[in-house]
Amino acid sequence: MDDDGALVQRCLAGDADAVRGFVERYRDLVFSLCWRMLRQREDAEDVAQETFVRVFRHLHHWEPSRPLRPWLMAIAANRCRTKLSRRKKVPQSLGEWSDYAIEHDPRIDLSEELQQGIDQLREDHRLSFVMFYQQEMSIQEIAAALDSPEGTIKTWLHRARKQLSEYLLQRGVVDQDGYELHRA
Amino acid sequence: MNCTELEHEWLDHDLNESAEAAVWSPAAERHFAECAACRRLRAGHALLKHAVAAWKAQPAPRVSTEQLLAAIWSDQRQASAGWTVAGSPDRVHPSASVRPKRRSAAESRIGSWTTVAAAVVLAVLGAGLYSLPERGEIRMADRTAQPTSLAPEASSAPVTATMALLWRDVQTNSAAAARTTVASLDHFPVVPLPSVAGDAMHGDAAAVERGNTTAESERRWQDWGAPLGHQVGNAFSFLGNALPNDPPPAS
Repeated sequence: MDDDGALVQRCLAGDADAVRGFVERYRDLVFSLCWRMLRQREDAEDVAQETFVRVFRHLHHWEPSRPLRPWLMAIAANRCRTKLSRRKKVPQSLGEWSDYAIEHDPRIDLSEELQQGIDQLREDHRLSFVMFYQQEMSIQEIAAALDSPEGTIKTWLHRARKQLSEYLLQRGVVDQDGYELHRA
Repeated sequence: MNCTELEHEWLDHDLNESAEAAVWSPAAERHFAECAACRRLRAGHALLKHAVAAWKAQPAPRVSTEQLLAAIWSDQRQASAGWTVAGSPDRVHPSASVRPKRRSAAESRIGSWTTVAAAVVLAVLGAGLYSLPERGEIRMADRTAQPTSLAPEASSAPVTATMALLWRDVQTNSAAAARTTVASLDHFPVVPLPSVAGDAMHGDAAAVERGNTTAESERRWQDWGAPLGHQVGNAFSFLGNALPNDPPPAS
């Protein structure tokens, strides 16, 4: 966004309204990535909080010539990775996603099946999948955020899709003809 | 077209926003007709498209702006330097506060064990260090067991970098090697140690030369500059303290 630079300048100049505007502009983007990656609300809140703290701590390092969103998402992605790596050392429950989904829709639905498949993706694949499909970031933006070549991101996305398709098929969500099975 | 070639086309197909309406190439369609595995995968991808749409539409919880702002202001206040926002604390909603990070029971358990393990290791190390006398002290104790006449009373701790270096060498080499090193200093002016130490301690480098050097020592200590003269004086004094008083071997 063209006005990102101006907003950042106002933040750096000490404008509290600008800081609020910045947070409100990117709050959902950051939190949804954290939520999709971590699946636990409190963890996602912690990581979103850490992300914004770091963003403002290092805001003066951001180069106005570069787009802000990938820079911001790179920080969020790194915080998610750190959280996930800590989790690997500690056995985790299945998370709150299913509880949350059931709370809002008692039917075991397609999106929940997909989310469970996403949880099984490799970390890089999961990040690129969430960024592409949920955050609607471009390949270029994802490549910048994950500090990887665009070709690699395309490959990760392709593999993620392939793995998820297989997962949905194995879960019996779809029959051989491609029709979704009705599940109670 | 084989499965690998189809995969290349698939990769572009995936990323096409209008892929739903996109048409596969005739070669790809022929491959689908022939390959059950790819046909199955195509069905999976079609479902995935619907699943992604449902997944994106799933309402996600939101995080409070006030909570995020509170964390930012809190960090700003803690930072000794950095960016500041004028009047920021007033902007924080009264109910907003930085939520302390939650620790799961398992994390807490691991944290506790880590802390206990670290404490035990530190305690063992501390006890070990406390019970072992410092190497320098051993040597000094050995030396004081012998009668000394030349060595002056001097600080047991090195006071300059030069002395620290010399002390390290004395500690890390054998006594014989140290004596040889000292003996090799014979071509330097012969300076009685008490004199050197005393002069060095009092900062009068000129006194070193005054009556304490031999005729061989035409090189003037004071020409080296007072700090260096003091260092050398201290070093000799310190070596005198540190080494046994055995005479150096005849070379």
